[in-house]
Amino acid sequence: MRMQKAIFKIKMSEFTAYRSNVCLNFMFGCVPLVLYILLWKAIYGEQVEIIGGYSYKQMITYYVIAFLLSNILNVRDNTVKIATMIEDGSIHNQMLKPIGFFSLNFKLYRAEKLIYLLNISIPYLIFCLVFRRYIFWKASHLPFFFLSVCVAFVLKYIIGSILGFLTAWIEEISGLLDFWENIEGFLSGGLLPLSILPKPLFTVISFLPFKYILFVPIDIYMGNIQGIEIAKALGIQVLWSVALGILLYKLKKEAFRKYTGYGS
Amino acid sequence: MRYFKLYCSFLKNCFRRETMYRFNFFINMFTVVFGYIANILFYYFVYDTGIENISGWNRYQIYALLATVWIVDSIFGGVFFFNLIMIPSKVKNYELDTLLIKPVNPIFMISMRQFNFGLFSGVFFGTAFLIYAVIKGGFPITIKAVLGYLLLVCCAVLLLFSILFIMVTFSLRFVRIQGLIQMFWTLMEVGKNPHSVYPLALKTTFTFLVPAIVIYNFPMQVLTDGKFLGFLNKGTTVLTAVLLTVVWVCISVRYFRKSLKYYYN
Repeated sequence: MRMQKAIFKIKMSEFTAYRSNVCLNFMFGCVPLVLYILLWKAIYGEQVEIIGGYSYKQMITYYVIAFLLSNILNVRDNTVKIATMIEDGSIHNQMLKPIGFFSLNFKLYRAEKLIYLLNISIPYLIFCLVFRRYIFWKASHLPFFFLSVCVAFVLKYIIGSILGFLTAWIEEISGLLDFWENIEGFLSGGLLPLSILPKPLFTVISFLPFKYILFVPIDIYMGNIQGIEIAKALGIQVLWSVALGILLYKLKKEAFRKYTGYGS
Repeated sequence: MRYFKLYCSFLKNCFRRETMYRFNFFINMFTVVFGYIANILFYYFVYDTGIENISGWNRYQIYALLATVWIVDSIFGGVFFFNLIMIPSKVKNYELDTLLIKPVNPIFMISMRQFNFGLFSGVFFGTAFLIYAVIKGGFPITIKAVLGYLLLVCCAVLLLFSILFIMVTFSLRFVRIQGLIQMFWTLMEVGKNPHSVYPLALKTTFTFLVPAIVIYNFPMQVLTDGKFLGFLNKGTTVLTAVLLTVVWVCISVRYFRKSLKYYYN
Protein backbone atom coordinates (compact mmCIF):
# COMPACT_ATOMS: atom_id res chain seq x y z
CA MET A 1 0.00 0.00 0.00
CA ARG A 2 2.86 2.36 0.88
CA MET A 3 4.52 1.61 -2.43
CA GLN A 4 1.25 2.21 -4.27
CA LYS A 5 0.97 5.57 -2.53
CA ALA A 6 4.54 6.51 -3.47
CA ILE A 7 3.96 5.50 -7.11
CA PHE A 8 0.77 7.52 -7.21
CA LYS A 9 2.61 10.55 -5.82
CA ILE A 10 5.41 10.30 -8.39
CA LYS A 11 2.98 9.94 -11.27
CA MET A 12 0.87 12.80 -9.96
CA SER A 13 3.81 15.20 -9.96
CA GLU A 14 4.81 14.00 -13.45
CA PHE A 15 1.30 14.65 -14.65
CA THR A 16 0.95 18.08 -13.06
CA ALA A 17 3.85 19.26 -15.20
CA TYR A 18 1.98 18.31 -18.40
CA ARG A 19 -1.60 18.88 -17.26
CA SER A 20 -2.39 21.58 -19.80
CA ASN A 21 -1.00 19.36 -22.54
CA VAL A 22 -3.23 16.44 -21.47
CA CYS A 23 -6.34 18.63 -21.32
CA LEU A 24 -5.52 20.23 -24.69
CA ASN A 25 -5.02 16.81 -26.28
CA PHE A 26 -8.31 15.65 -24.84
CA MET A 27 -10.18 18.70 -26.09
CA PHE A 28 -8.80 18.36 -29.60
CA GLY A 29 -9.66 14.69 -29.40
CA CYS A 30 -13.28 15.72 -28.89
CA VAL A 31 -13.42 17.36 -32.34
CA PRO A 32 -13.60 14.02 -34.22
CA LEU A 33 -16.41 13.05 -31.83
CA VAL A 34 -18.40 16.12 -32.88
CA LEU A 35 -17.71 15.19 -36.50
CA TYR A 36 -19.03 11.68 -35.84
CA ILE A 37 -22.22 13.19 -34.38
CA LEU A 38 -22.76 15.19 -37.58
CA LEU A 39 -21.75 12.36 -39.90
CA TRP A 40 -24.02 9.78 -38.26
CA LYS A 41 -26.85 12.30 -38.22
CA ALA A 42 -26.48 12.47 -42.00
CA ILE A 43 -26.20 8.67 -42.27
CA TYR A 44 -29.36 8.03 -40.28
CA GLY A 45 -31.10 11.00 -41.91
CA GLU A 46 -34.66 10.11 -42.63
CA GLN A 47 -33.75 6.75 -44.09
CA VAL A 48 -33.29 4.39 -41.15
CA GLU A 49 -34.00 4.10 -37.45
CA ILE A 50 -31.62 1.29 -36.54
CA ILE A 51 -28.20 0.40 -37.97
CA GLY A 52 -26.42 -2.72 -36.71
CA GLY A 53 -28.79 -2.87 -33.74
CA TYR A 54 -28.07 0.74 -32.73
CA SER A 55 -30.39 3.72 -32.76
CA TYR A 56 -28.87 7.15 -33.53
CA LYS A 57 -28.60 7.97 -29.82
CA GLN A 58 -26.96 4.62 -29.08
CA MET A 59 -24.56 5.08 -31.97
CA ILE A 60 -23.37 8.45 -30.68
CA THR A 61 -23.09 7.04 -27.15
CA TYR A 62 -21.06 4.17 -28.62
CA TYR A 63 -18.49 6.64 -30.00
CA VAL A 64 -18.47 8.76 -26.83
CA ILE A 65 -17.69 5.69 -24.67
CA ALA A 66 -15.28 4.24 -27.24
CA PHE A 67 -13.41 7.53 -27.27
CA LEU A 68 -13.04 7.55 -23.49
CA LEU A 69 -12.09 3.89 -23.31
CA SER A 70 -9.52 4.07 -26.10
CA ASN A 71 -7.86 6.96 -24.28
CA ILE A 72 -7.82 5.16 -20.95
CA LEU A 73 -6.79 1.84 -22.46
CA ASN A 74 -4.10 3.39 -24.64
CA VAL A 75 -1.04 1.38 -23.76
CA ARG A 76 1.40 2.79 -26.31
CA ASP A 77 3.48 4.76 -23.81
CA ASN A 78 4.05 1.68 -21.69
CA THR A 79 4.93 -0.46 -24.71
CA VAL A 80 7.44 2.13 -25.90
CA LYS A 81 8.82 2.35 -22.35
CA ILE A 82 9.46 -1.41 -22.21
CA ALA A 83 10.96 -1.35 -25.72
CA THR A 84 13.24 1.55 -24.83
CA MET A 85 14.35 -0.15 -21.62
CA ILE A 86 15.41 -3.21 -23.62
CA GLU A 87 17.03 -1.08 -26.34
CA ASP A 88 19.09 1.21 -24.13
CA GLY A 89 19.79 -1.33 -21.41
CA SER A 90 17.99 0.47 -18.61
CA ILE A 91 16.03 -2.72 -17.97
CA HIS A 92 19.09 -3.61 -15.86
CA ASN A 93 17.67 -1.37 -13.16
CA GLN A 94 14.40 -3.23 -13.15
CA MET A 95 16.09 -6.63 -13.00
CA LEU A 96 18.09 -5.61 -9.93
CA LYS A 97 15.14 -4.24 -7.98
CA PRO A 98 13.69 -6.42 -5.18
CA ILE A 99 10.29 -6.35 -6.86
CA GLY A 100 8.95 -8.26 -9.87
CA PHE A 101 9.08 -6.45 -13.21
CA PHE A 102 5.34 -6.63 -13.86
CA SER A 103 4.42 -5.86 -10.30
CA LEU A 104 6.10 -2.45 -10.50
CA ASN A 105 5.34 -1.78 -14.16
CA PHE A 106 1.63 -2.55 -13.80
CA LYS A 107 1.35 -0.40 -10.68
CA LEU A 108 2.97 2.52 -12.51
CA TYR A 109 0.67 2.00 -15.49
CA ARG A 110 -2.42 1.80 -13.28
CA ALA A 111 -1.48 4.96 -11.35
CA GLU A 112 -0.84 6.80 -14.61
CA LYS A 113 -4.23 5.87 -16.02
CA LEU A 114 -6.03 6.69 -12.79
CA ILE A 115 -4.52 10.17 -12.74
CA TYR A 116 -5.34 10.57 -16.44
CA LEU A 117 -8.95 9.64 -15.68
CA LEU A 118 -9.08 12.18 -12.86
CA ASN A 119 -7.71 14.87 -15.15
CA ILE A 120 -10.06 14.31 -18.05
CA SER A 121 -13.17 13.53 -16.02
CA ILE A 122 -14.27 17.18 -15.82
CA PRO A 123 -13.85 18.06 -19.53
CA TYR A 124 -15.45 14.70 -20.39
CA LEU A 125 -18.45 15.36 -18.14
CA ILE A 126 -18.81 18.84 -19.64
CA PHE A 127 -18.77 17.29 -23.11
CA CYS A 128 -21.44 14.74 -22.09
CA LEU A 129 -23.58 17.51 -20.59
CA VAL A 130 -23.32 19.69 -23.69
CA PHE A 131 -24.30 16.77 -25.92
CA ARG A 132 -26.68 15.15 -23.40
CA ARG A 133 -29.53 14.91 -25.89
CA TYR A 134 -27.38 12.57 -27.99
CA ILE A 135 -26.39 10.37 -25.06
CA PHE A 136 -28.11 7.08 -24.27
CA TRP A 137 -28.25 6.71 -20.50
CA LYS A 138 -28.60 3.21 -19.07
CA ALA A 139 -27.59 2.49 -15.52
CA SER A 140 -28.84 -1.08 -15.10
CA HIS A 141 -25.70 -2.75 -16.48
CA LEU A 142 -23.15 -0.27 -15.11
CA PRO A 143 -21.54 -2.70 -12.58
CA PHE A 144 -20.96 -5.28 -15.33
CA PHE A 145 -19.73 -2.55 -17.65
CA PHE A 146 -17.11 -1.41 -15.09
CA LEU A 147 -16.09 -5.00 -14.46
CA SER A 148 -15.67 -5.59 -18.16
CA VAL A 149 -13.63 -2.38 -18.54
CA CYS A 150 -11.33 -3.52 -15.72
CA VAL A 151 -10.68 -6.85 -17.44
CA ALA A 152 -10.18 -5.02 -20.77
CA PHE A 153 -7.66 -2.79 -18.99
CA VAL A 154 -5.61 -5.83 -17.92
CA LEU A 155 -6.00 -7.47 -21.33
CA LYS A 156 -4.77 -4.33 -23.07
CA TYR A 157 -1.81 -4.05 -20.69
CA ILE A 158 -0.82 -7.64 -21.44
CA ILE A 159 -1.04 -7.15 -25.22
CA GLY A 160 0.97 -3.91 -24.99
CA SER A 161 3.67 -5.59 -22.88
CA ILE A 162 3.91 -8.51 -25.33
CA LEU A 163 4.59 -5.99 -28.12
CA GLY A 164 7.15 -4.20 -25.94
CA PHE A 165 9.09 -7.41 -25.23
CA LEU A 166 9.25 -8.19 -28.95
CA THR A 167 12.02 -5.57 -29.05
CA ALA A 168 14.35 -8.31 -27.88
CA TRP A 169 13.93 -9.83 -31.37
CA ILE A 170 12.90 -6.88 -33.57
CA GLU A 171 15.12 -3.82 -33.16
CA GLU A 172 12.70 -1.15 -34.30
CA ILE A 173 9.09 -1.66 -33.24
CA SER A 174 7.54 1.76 -33.93
CA GLY A 175 6.24 0.61 -37.34
CA LEU A 176 4.88 -2.62 -35.91
CA LEU A 177 3.21 -0.66 -33.13
CA ASP A 178 1.46 1.70 -35.55
CA PHE A 179 0.35 -1.24 -37.65
CA TRP A 180 -0.96 -3.09 -34.60
CA GLU A 181 -2.86 -0.01 -33.40
CA ASN A 182 -4.57 0.32 -36.76
CA ILE A 183 -5.59 -3.34 -36.86
CA GLU A 184 -6.68 -3.31 -33.24
CA GLY A 185 -8.62 -0.06 -33.71
CA PHE A 186 -10.66 -1.67 -36.45
CA LEU A 187 -11.11 -5.16 -34.97
CA SER A 188 -11.97 -3.91 -31.48
CA GLY A 189 -14.79 -1.74 -32.80
CA GLY A 190 -13.05 1.62 -32.50
CA LEU A 191 -13.98 2.63 -36.03
CA LEU A 192 -17.55 1.38 -36.04
CA PRO A 193 -19.65 -1.06 -33.98
CA LEU A 194 -18.74 -4.60 -34.97
CA SER A 195 -22.42 -5.55 -35.23
CA ILE A 196 -22.55 -3.54 -38.48
CA LEU A 197 -20.06 -5.90 -40.12
CA PRO A 198 -21.33 -8.84 -42.19
CA LYS A 199 -22.11 -11.88 -40.07
CA PRO A 200 -19.25 -14.16 -41.30
CA LEU A 201 -16.69 -11.42 -40.59
CA PHE A 202 -18.23 -10.74 -37.20
CA THR A 203 -17.99 -14.46 -36.37
CA VAL A 204 -14.31 -14.57 -37.33
CA ILE A 205 -13.58 -11.47 -35.21
CA SER A 206 -15.36 -13.09 -32.26
CA PHE A 207 -12.59 -15.68 -32.11
CA LEU A 208 -9.97 -12.95 -31.60
CA PRO A 209 -9.28 -11.03 -28.38
CA PHE A 210 -9.75 -7.52 -29.87
CA LYS A 211 -13.53 -7.53 -29.60
CA TYR A 212 -13.24 -7.82 -25.81
CA ILE A 213 -11.30 -4.56 -25.50
CA LEU A 214 -13.93 -2.07 -26.68
CA PHE A 215 -16.96 -3.62 -28.30
CA VAL A 216 -17.96 -6.05 -25.53
CA PRO A 217 -17.80 -3.53 -22.62
CA ILE A 218 -19.85 -1.00 -24.63
CA ASP A 219 -22.33 -3.66 -25.71
CA ILE A 220 -22.79 -4.57 -22.06
CA TYR A 221 -23.47 -0.91 -21.22
CA MET A 222 -25.99 -0.63 -24.06
CA GLY A 223 -27.88 -3.66 -22.78
CA ASN A 224 -27.38 -5.56 -26.03
CA ILE A 225 -25.92 -8.41 -24.00
CA GLN A 226 -28.24 -9.73 -21.32
CA GLY A 227 -28.27 -12.24 -18.45
CA ILE A 228 -26.10 -15.30 -18.95
CA GLU A 229 -24.55 -13.74 -22.06
CA ILE A 230 -22.84 -11.14 -19.85
CA ALA A 231 -21.27 -13.85 -17.70
CA LYS A 232 -20.17 -15.65 -20.87
CA ALA A 233 -18.61 -12.48 -22.33
CA LEU A 234 -16.81 -11.69 -19.08
CA GLY A 235 -15.61 -15.30 -18.86
CA ILE A 236 -14.12 -15.15 -22.36
CA GLN A 237 -12.46 -11.83 -21.51
CA VAL A 238 -10.84 -13.41 -18.45
CA LEU A 239 -9.80 -16.47 -20.46
CA TRP A 240 -8.08 -14.29 -23.06
CA SER A 241 -6.31 -12.39 -20.30
CA VAL A 242 -5.05 -15.60 -18.71
CA ALA A 243 -3.94 -17.13 -22.02
CA LEU A 244 -2.13 -13.98 -23.15
CA GLY A 245 -0.77 -13.49 -19.62
CA ILE A 246 0.91 -16.91 -19.83
CA LEU A 247 2.30 -15.99 -23.26
CA LEU A 248 3.64 -12.72 -21.86
CA TYR A 249 5.29 -14.48 -18.92
CA LYS A 250 7.05 -16.94 -21.26
CA LEU A 251 8.03 -14.16 -23.64
CA LYS A 252 9.51 -12.09 -20.83
CA LYS A 253 11.51 -15.10 -19.65
CA GLU A 254 12.86 -15.67 -23.17
CA ALA A 255 13.55 -11.97 -23.68
CA PHE A 256 15.52 -11.73 -20.44
CA ARG A 257 17.48 -14.83 -21.44
CA LYS A 258 18.28 -13.36 -24.85
CA TYR A 259 19.02 -9.89 -23.49
CA THR A 260 22.62 -8.79 -23.12
CA GLY A 261 23.44 -5.32 -21.87
CA TYR A 262 27.10 -4.83 -22.69
CA GLY A 263 28.24 -1.35 -21.83
CA SER A 264 24.85 -0.12 -20.73
CA MET B 1 18.49 23.20 -62.46
CA ARG B 2 20.76 23.54 -59.41
CA TYR B 3 17.78 23.00 -57.12
CA PHE B 4 16.59 20.04 -59.18
CA LYS B 5 20.00 18.35 -58.89
CA LEU B 6 20.10 19.08 -55.20
CA TYR B 7 16.62 17.63 -54.73
CA CYS B 8 17.59 14.47 -56.63
CA SER B 9 20.51 13.92 -54.27
CA PHE B 10 18.16 14.46 -51.29
CA LEU B 11 15.89 11.78 -52.74
CA LYS B 12 18.75 9.32 -53.23
CA ASN B 13 19.96 9.90 -49.70
CA CYS B 14 16.48 9.45 -48.21
CA PHE B 15 15.82 6.28 -50.19
CA ARG B 16 19.06 4.70 -48.96
CA ARG B 17 18.27 5.61 -45.38
CA GLU B 18 14.70 4.35 -45.52
CA THR B 19 15.61 1.01 -47.04
CA MET B 20 18.25 0.42 -44.39
CA TYR B 21 15.53 -0.80 -42.00
CA ARG B 22 13.53 -2.71 -44.60
CA PHE B 23 11.13 -4.41 -42.21
CA ASN B 24 10.22 -1.10 -40.65
CA PHE B 25 9.93 0.57 -44.06
CA PHE B 26 7.44 -1.96 -45.39
CA ILE B 27 5.46 -2.18 -42.19
CA ASN B 28 5.20 1.63 -42.14
CA MET B 29 3.94 1.59 -45.71
CA PHE B 30 1.45 -1.17 -44.93
CA THR B 31 0.24 0.70 -41.83
CA VAL B 32 -0.54 3.82 -43.82
CA VAL B 33 -2.32 1.79 -46.49
CA PHE B 34 -4.34 -0.05 -43.85
CA GLY B 35 -5.31 3.27 -42.22
CA TYR B 36 -6.92 4.45 -45.45
CA ILE B 37 -8.46 1.05 -46.17
CA ALA B 38 -10.07 1.16 -42.72
CA ASN B 39 -11.71 4.47 -43.65
CA ILE B 40 -12.94 2.97 -46.92
CA LEU B 41 -14.27 -0.08 -45.05
CA PHE B 42 -16.15 2.23 -42.68
CA TYR B 43 -18.22 3.62 -45.56
CA TYR B 44 -18.37 0.24 -47.33
CA PHE B 45 -20.03 -1.38 -44.34
CA VAL B 46 -22.27 1.62 -43.68
CA TYR B 47 -23.61 1.56 -47.25
CA ASP B 48 -23.95 -2.21 -47.00
CA THR B 49 -26.56 -1.80 -44.28
CA GLY B 50 -28.94 -0.47 -46.92
CA ILE B 51 -28.19 3.26 -46.77
CA GLU B 52 -28.59 4.76 -50.24
CA ASN B 53 -26.93 8.10 -49.71
CA ILE B 54 -25.31 10.25 -47.04
CA SER B 55 -26.51 13.83 -47.36
CA GLY B 56 -26.99 13.24 -51.06
CA TRP B 57 -23.61 11.54 -51.64
CA ASN B 58 -23.72 8.06 -53.08
CA ARG B 59 -21.17 5.33 -52.35
CA TYR B 60 -18.86 6.18 -55.26
CA GLN B 61 -18.84 9.92 -54.61
CA ILE B 62 -17.69 9.14 -51.07
CA TYR B 63 -15.07 6.73 -52.45
CA ALA B 64 -13.78 9.46 -54.78
CA LEU B 65 -13.52 11.79 -51.78
CA LEU B 66 -11.60 9.17 -49.78
CA ALA B 67 -9.28 8.55 -52.72
CA THR B 68 -8.61 12.29 -52.95
CA VAL B 69 -7.84 12.43 -49.21
CA TRP B 70 -5.44 9.52 -49.75
CA ILE B 71 -3.68 11.20 -52.68
CA VAL B 72 -3.40 14.66 -51.09
CA ASP B 73 -2.20 13.34 -47.72
CA SER B 74 0.32 11.02 -49.37
CA ILE B 75 1.89 13.80 -51.46
CA PHE B 76 1.96 16.20 -48.53
CA GLY B 77 3.15 13.51 -46.11
CA GLY B 78 5.85 12.27 -48.47
CA VAL B 79 7.23 15.63 -49.58
CA PHE B 80 6.67 18.11 -46.75
CA PHE B 81 5.25 16.77 -43.50
CA PHE B 82 8.35 15.26 -41.88
CA ASN B 83 10.42 18.30 -42.81
CA LEU B 84 7.98 20.70 -41.25
CA ILE B 85 7.42 18.86 -37.99
CA MET B 86 11.18 18.71 -37.48
CA ILE B 87 11.54 22.50 -37.51
CA PRO B 88 10.71 22.98 -33.77
CA SER B 89 13.35 20.43 -32.73
CA LYS B 90 15.84 22.06 -35.11
CA VAL B 91 15.17 25.39 -33.46
CA LYS B 92 15.57 23.84 -30.02
CA ASN B 93 18.87 22.12 -30.87
CA TYR B 94 20.27 25.07 -32.89
CA GLU B 95 20.42 22.88 -36.02
CA LEU B 96 18.45 25.49 -37.92
CA ASP B 97 21.47 27.80 -37.91
CA THR B 98 23.46 25.27 -39.95
CA LEU B 99 20.70 25.11 -42.55
CA LEU B 100 20.33 28.88 -42.76
CA ILE B 101 23.96 29.53 -43.58
CA LYS B 102 23.85 27.21 -46.60
CA PRO B 103 23.85 29.00 -50.00
CA VAL B 104 20.32 27.86 -50.89
CA ASN B 105 16.84 29.19 -50.27
CA PRO B 106 16.13 28.49 -46.56
CA ILE B 107 12.50 27.55 -47.22
CA PHE B 108 13.61 24.97 -49.80
CA MET B 109 16.23 23.62 -47.45
CA ILE B 110 14.04 23.22 -44.38
CA SER B 111 10.87 22.06 -46.11
CA MET B 112 12.19 19.61 -48.70
CA ARG B 113 15.30 18.01 -47.25
CA GLN B 114 13.54 14.79 -46.21
CA PHE B 115 11.36 12.62 -48.44
CA ASN B 116 9.23 9.80 -47.05
CA PHE B 117 8.86 7.09 -49.70
CA GLY B 118 6.61 4.92 -47.54
CA LEU B 119 4.00 7.69 -47.20
CA PHE B 120 4.37 8.86 -50.79
CA SER B 121 3.57 5.38 -52.13
CA GLY B 122 -0.02 6.09 -51.07
CA VAL B 123 -0.37 8.27 -54.19
CA PHE B 124 -0.42 5.15 -56.37
CA PHE B 125 -2.94 3.30 -54.21
CA GLY B 126 -5.09 6.42 -53.96
CA THR B 127 -5.03 6.94 -57.73
CA ALA B 128 -5.97 3.32 -58.37
CA PHE B 129 -8.87 3.66 -55.94
CA LEU B 130 -9.94 6.94 -57.54
CA ILE B 131 -10.03 5.29 -60.97
CA TYR B 132 -12.13 2.46 -59.51
CA ALA B 133 -14.56 4.94 -57.91
CA VAL B 134 -14.87 6.99 -61.11
CA ILE B 135 -15.49 3.93 -63.31
CA LYS B 136 -17.95 2.29 -60.91
CA GLY B 137 -19.70 5.59 -60.22
CA GLY B 138 -20.11 6.24 -63.93
CA PHE B 139 -19.04 9.87 -63.61
CA PRO B 140 -18.73 11.67 -66.94
CA ILE B 141 -15.04 12.64 -66.93
CA THR B 142 -13.63 15.27 -69.29
CA ILE B 143 -10.02 16.35 -69.84
CA LYS B 144 -10.95 19.73 -68.41
CA ALA B 145 -12.20 18.06 -65.24
CA VAL B 146 -9.01 15.99 -64.91
CA LEU B 147 -6.85 19.09 -65.37
CA GLY B 148 -8.99 20.96 -62.85
CA TYR B 149 -8.59 18.06 -60.43
CA LEU B 150 -4.80 18.01 -60.80
CA LEU B 151 -4.65 21.77 -60.29
CA LEU B 152 -6.78 21.54 -57.15
CA VAL B 153 -4.70 18.65 -55.76
CA CYS B 154 -1.61 20.88 -56.16
CA CYS B 155 -3.50 23.69 -54.43
CA ALA B 156 -4.51 21.29 -51.64
CA VAL B 157 -0.91 20.22 -51.02
CA LEU B 158 0.26 23.84 -51.02
CA LEU B 159 -2.52 24.83 -48.66
CA LEU B 160 -1.61 22.04 -46.24
CA PHE B 161 2.01 23.09 -46.51
CA SER B 162 1.23 26.76 -45.87
CA ILE B 163 -1.00 26.14 -42.86
CA LEU B 164 1.43 23.78 -41.17
CA PHE B 165 4.37 26.00 -42.14
CA ILE B 166 2.77 28.95 -40.35
CA MET B 167 2.16 26.76 -37.29
CA VAL B 168 5.71 25.43 -37.10
CA THR B 169 7.12 28.90 -37.76
CA PHE B 170 5.68 29.81 -34.36
CA SER B 171 8.48 27.67 -32.96
CA LEU B 172 10.97 30.37 -34.01
CA ARG B 173 9.38 32.49 -31.31
CA PHE B 174 7.83 30.05 -28.83
CA VAL B 175 9.86 26.81 -29.32
CA ARG B 176 7.22 24.39 -27.86
CA ILE B 177 4.33 23.98 -30.29
CA GLN B 178 3.36 20.28 -30.09
CA GLY B 179 -0.28 21.12 -29.38
CA LEU B 180 -0.49 23.18 -32.58
CA ILE B 181 0.55 20.24 -34.77
CA GLN B 182 -2.20 18.13 -33.25
CA MET B 183 -4.63 20.98 -33.76
CA PHE B 184 -3.63 21.09 -37.42
CA TRP B 185 -4.57 17.45 -38.07
CA THR B 186 -7.73 17.73 -35.99
CA LEU B 187 -8.93 20.71 -38.03
CA MET B 188 -8.08 18.95 -41.28
CA GLU B 189 -10.33 16.05 -40.27
CA VAL B 190 -13.30 18.30 -41.00
CA GLY B 191 -12.48 18.30 -44.70
CA LYS B 192 -12.33 14.52 -44.91
CA ASN B 193 -16.10 14.13 -44.63
CA PRO B 194 -18.63 15.19 -47.28
CA HIS B 195 -19.16 18.93 -46.80
CA SER B 196 -22.93 18.56 -46.98
CA VAL B 197 -23.08 16.90 -43.56
CA TYR B 198 -22.10 20.21 -41.93
CA PRO B 199 -24.33 23.19 -41.15
CA LEU B 200 -23.73 26.27 -43.32
CA ALA B 201 -21.79 28.23 -40.68
CA LEU B 202 -19.32 25.39 -40.21
CA LYS B 203 -19.07 24.85 -43.95
CA THR B 204 -18.26 28.52 -44.58
CA THR B 205 -15.71 28.62 -41.75
CA PHE B 206 -13.92 25.54 -43.04
CA THR B 207 -13.90 26.84 -46.57
CA PHE B 208 -12.72 30.41 -46.17
CA LEU B 209 -11.12 30.63 -42.72
CA VAL B 210 -9.52 27.20 -42.32
CA PRO B 211 -9.73 25.77 -45.84
CA ALA B 212 -10.06 22.08 -44.89
CA ILE B 213 -13.06 21.64 -47.20
CA VAL B 214 -11.16 23.31 -50.05
CA ILE B 215 -8.27 20.90 -49.55
CA TYR B 216 -10.17 17.62 -49.67
CA ASN B 217 -13.68 18.25 -51.01
CA PHE B 218 -13.02 20.69 -53.85
CA PRO B 219 -10.80 18.51 -56.10
CA MET B 220 -13.27 15.65 -55.96
CA GLN B 221 -16.21 17.95 -56.76
CA VAL B 222 -14.50 19.32 -59.83
CA LEU B 223 -13.57 15.85 -61.07
CA THR B 224 -16.95 14.21 -60.64
CA ASP B 225 -19.07 17.30 -61.19
CA GLY B 226 -20.42 16.44 -57.77
CA LYS B 227 -22.11 18.34 -55.01
CA PHE B 228 -20.76 21.86 -54.97
CA LEU B 229 -21.17 24.22 -52.06
CA GLY B 230 -24.48 26.03 -52.55
CA PHE B 231 -22.86 29.36 -53.45
CA LEU B 232 -20.10 28.00 -55.71
CA ASN B 233 -20.21 26.41 -59.16
CA LYS B 234 -17.42 24.56 -60.98
CA GLY B 235 -15.57 27.67 -62.22
CA THR B 236 -15.80 29.61 -58.98
CA THR B 237 -14.76 26.51 -57.03
CA VAL B 238 -11.46 26.34 -58.94
CA LEU B 239 -10.97 30.09 -58.71
CA THR B 240 -11.67 30.13 -54.96
CA ALA B 241 -9.20 27.31 -54.36
CA VAL B 242 -6.46 28.99 -56.40
CA LEU B 243 -7.01 32.38 -54.77
CA LEU B 244 -7.01 30.91 -51.26
CA THR B 245 -3.81 28.99 -52.06
CA VAL B 246 -2.04 32.13 -53.27
CA VAL B 247 -3.13 34.02 -50.16
CA TRP B 248 -2.05 31.25 -47.75
CA VAL B 249 1.30 30.68 -49.46
CA CYS B 250 2.07 34.41 -49.41
CA ILE B 251 1.11 34.71 -45.74
CA SER B 252 3.21 31.68 -44.75
CA VAL B 253 6.32 32.85 -46.64
CA ARG B 254 6.05 36.40 -45.34
CA TYR B 255 5.48 35.21 -41.80
CA PHE B 256 8.47 32.90 -41.99
CA ARG B 257 10.74 35.70 -43.26
CA LYS B 258 9.50 38.00 -40.51
CA SER B 259 10.02 35.34 -37.83
CA LEU B 260 13.48 34.63 -39.20
CA LYS B 261 14.45 38.21 -38.50
CA TYR B 262 13.23 37.73 -34.94
CA TYR B 263 15.24 34.49 -34.75
CA TYR B 264 18.44 36.21 -35.98
CA ASN B 265 18.05 38.78 -33.24
